[in-house]
Parts: sequence; structure tokens; C-alpha cells
Amino acid sequence: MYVNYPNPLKMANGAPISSLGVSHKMHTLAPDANGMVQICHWRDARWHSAIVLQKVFLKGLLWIEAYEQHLATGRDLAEFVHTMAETV
Amino acid sequence: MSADIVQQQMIQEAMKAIAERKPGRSKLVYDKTRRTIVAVAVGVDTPRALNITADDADMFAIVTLSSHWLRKQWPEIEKGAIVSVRFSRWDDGDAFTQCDLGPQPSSSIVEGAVQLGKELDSSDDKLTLIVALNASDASKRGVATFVAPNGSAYQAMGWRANESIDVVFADVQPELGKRRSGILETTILSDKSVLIIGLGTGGAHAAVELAKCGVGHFALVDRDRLSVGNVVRHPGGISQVGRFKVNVLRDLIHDKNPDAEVLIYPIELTYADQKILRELIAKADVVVCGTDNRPSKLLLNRLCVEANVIALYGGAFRRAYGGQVLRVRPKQSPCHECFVAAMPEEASDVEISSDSDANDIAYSDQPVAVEPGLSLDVLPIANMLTKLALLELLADKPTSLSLLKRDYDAPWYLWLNRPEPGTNYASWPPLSESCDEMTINRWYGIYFDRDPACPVCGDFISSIAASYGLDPNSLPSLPEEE
Repeated sequence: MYVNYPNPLKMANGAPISSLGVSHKMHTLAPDANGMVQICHWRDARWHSAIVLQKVFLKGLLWIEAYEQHLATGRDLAEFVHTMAETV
Repeated sequence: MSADIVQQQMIQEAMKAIAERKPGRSKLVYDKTRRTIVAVAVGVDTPRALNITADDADMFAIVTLSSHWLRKQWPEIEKGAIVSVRFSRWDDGDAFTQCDLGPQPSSSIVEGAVQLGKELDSSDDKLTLIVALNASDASKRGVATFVAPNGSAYQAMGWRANESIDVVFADVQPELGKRRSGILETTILSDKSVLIIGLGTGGAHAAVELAKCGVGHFALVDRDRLSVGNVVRHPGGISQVGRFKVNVLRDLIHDKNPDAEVLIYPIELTYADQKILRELIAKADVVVCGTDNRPSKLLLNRLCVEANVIALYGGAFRRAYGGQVLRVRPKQSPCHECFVAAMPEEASDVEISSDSDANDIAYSDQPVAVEPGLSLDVLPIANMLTKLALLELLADKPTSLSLLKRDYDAPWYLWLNRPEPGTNYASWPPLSESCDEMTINRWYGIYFDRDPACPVCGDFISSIAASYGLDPNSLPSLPEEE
């Protein structure tokens, strides 16, 4: 799940989020070749087929809300959103 | 009579006694002062000498020749042909083993020949075996006797550089079968096929152990090469480093069961290769999964459930503080998807034994260390994986192992090597203080139910539809998968 606009998507300090790569504090996975930020939801090692897409989109919405909080406070995005649970 | 002649006679007497393993009037000793072997009368004190016994005679070099190979060559040899043969030379010439006996010969090879009782010139380095009729009592026939296709018994003597070397015959399959016959009939597993995916420590040990049990057909899937770091846990050794693990295991299997058919596939278990995986699964009686990442296990789970083939999933927890084996009997017991849904923590607790394992779960700002466990701690899990595979292979055959069906009827098996801090098992009591509580170093068979909404073995669509109050029959049909 990628954020295709705006690109680059910047952190509170002005640096592009994609420069962090796979980041726990910003809940991102590897950016695509054009620098689009990939939102971390369930990594391959944690994915199973009972995780419905609805949950992935829910994580996207949560991530956007947390990103707004990050911009407002400068604190890590991970402080506003928990890692998604594996249970169905 | 000169002293030399007396000594020669005594030596002959002593050697005869050694050969017959009977007490004689003379014995051989190594005279440390003269630094030579001499014969002395039995009973004479020899404080400056070491006795040479019949057991020392067994220390002489030996040639091992395949009976199976010799039987195949016998029509030609019987006609007087000299048949070429190659030997591995081991331990500075202490043992010469026919290269055809196994897949991994020595780096030092000696050319040889086999012929039926003829004069020979053995002055060169070639190892020539002279086979001659053995007139000894049939009841005394042992490893030094070869029984020809016509039933006649023969013995052989090897000659190299004008020195004689004893010859023994190895009848491989009968000998291997005999060692298993107390538990397994000789050929009971020779028609069984096992697909092993992932040849790390667990999968590789399972492959070798199943070969020892006599399984006749293997398909091996693994894309990795053996690295130096693998060697402290893997059956492959330093001399195999750099080879694909499938090739290493093929040779190890053939070293234990020369007649086994071993098909190798140096590929990764991915969605892209599912066509070939489906073909391999369809031919397998049991699938053993030794991979340590979830995507590969879940893909294999789906394919095996679809094909209705029993699969076993083995894995160690981090730093091998314990491990687990899951057996999936499609549509009868919970599948791997059910397991992940029911016990996500246990399903996620995997050993980080390589950089790629670590990269799968690490973040740039939250690195994950590679922390493999000890071989010692992985082997109990590999053994259980093998035992369960064996029981499934024998399911339709009566053996003394059939008794174990009642003991191994749970879908999930848990083993702990230590009460790892930070886990649910940290408070387990010490092994020595517990009678009926769970402790380390014991297997626990654990029951749990299939997930009726499992996307692989359950009715996922109906369950989702029901949760939204929809009639599944009113939903449009899903597109066909490409």
C-alpha cells in the first residue's frame, strides 16, 4: 500500500519519509523505485490469508491519522499507532 | 638348526595361531630394543617387548568389494575376463573401498581389477583381486565369502605391490535391511515417496533419517547453497561448502540408502513455482516442510490441502529455546492457516538463523540479530518431524510402530529446550521438581480445532458473508484463478 501523492512525502523535519527505508518509527516498508512511501501493515512474515483487505485499508486510514499527529507534534508516528495484531 | 631358521619357524607358528585365533607355542612381540618384530616362546618374559595379538591382526589393511556389483560382473569373470574396478584409498592405504559402493569417494583413487584364480603380476600400484573357490564349511561363511549366482562360495585376496590384502564383501541392501528388520520389514518403505521442502538443519536431518529407515523415493526442494556457517548444525560438512543443499543431501541419502531415487529441485518455494510444486506434491505420500518463513509454509499448506496430501511443518523457536511440529491431515485436522489464526504468537516465533530471516522482520531503525540455536536443540524437533513422517508413511502397513497411533494423534507438538525468559514458558518448574506440570525436555501433543472460517480448509466466504448478514448464494462467483 503506497502513498502516491504527494511525492515526496515529508516528515515533520522536512526530510522525505522514503529516505528512512524500512522504518519502524514511521511504520513504513521499502519505498518503490520512484520514492513513493509504502505503508507497513502486515509484513510477509506476519501475513496470512484470513487478513482481509478491509483491515489493510483500515491500517492505511490509521497511518494517515497518525501521520497528521506526527506533523503536528514532531513525535514518531509509531507513538500514535500500534503494530497490527495478527489475530483475525 | 640356525637361529634364523628357528626364528622363522616360530614366526610361522605364531602367525598361524593368530590367524586361527588359537593359543600356540610361539607368540609375536615387538622388540623395542631391536625395533623389530620377533617370535618368542609362550611364557617367556619379554619386558622390553609388546605382544602382538589376534586383535592386532585386524589392524591390517582391508579391501571392501560390493557383492551386488560382483554378481553383475560374474558371467564375464567366470569366463576368465579381467574386470576393471576402482577403489577409494583411505587412511594411508589402511582401507580400499570400491568406489561403486557410495556416492562420495576418497580423493585418492586406486585402479584395480578382479579376476578368477590366475597368476598375476602385482608389482605395480594396481590393486588386483584374485577370486578363488572357497572350500570351507558353508556355515562359516561370513563377510569374507562371496556367493556367486550359481550358489558356489568364493573367497578373494587382494594384491598390491607384491603385498597381500584381505578382502571382504559388502552386500549392501540385505545388510541395511537386516539392521532395520526388528522394527521395519526390509522393503516396507521402498515404494514410499517423501517430498522435503527446505533443507536446513531440520529438513536435512529428516531426509537422512528417512533414508536410514529405507524410504525409497525422495524429492528435495531448496534453493540455497551450503555455507561455512551452516556446518555447525547441518549434516553436510566443510568439504561440501558451496554446493547446493539439494546436491549435498542427495549424496548423503545415497550414502545411507544407495538404491533410493532422489530427485532434486534447486528452486525456491514461491507462488511462481506452484505448478511444479503441485506436480511434486501429487506424487508424494508425505510432504515435510523445513522452511522457516511463513509465506512458504502457507503456500505449501494451501497446495497440500488442495491435493489432499499430508504435510508436516517443523520449526525451531528463536535461538531454538524450543520448537514445534504441526501435522496437517487435510480436512481432518487443523491446517497451517487454522494454526496461525488460533495461535499467532506460536506461529510467529521462529528461529532467526540467517541474514535473510532477519531482513524479513527487521526495520532500518530496529535491527534483528541473527541468533541461531544449537544443533543439539534443533535435533529433537527434527527427530519428531521424522517420526511423524514415518508414522504417516506406515499408516496403511502393520508394523510394531502401529502401536504409536494412539500416542501421536494430536495435530500440534511442542518441545522446550529451556524456559526462555519473556515467553509464556518462563515460569515452567524445574525438570527435577515436576511430576505432572509441563517442563522442558518433553514432547506435548496439543489439540485445537479447525477454523470453520479458514480460507484454506474451511468455508471462508460463507463465514465472511454471515458476518455481514449476507446470503453467500447471492454473491457473484469469484473469478477463476490464473
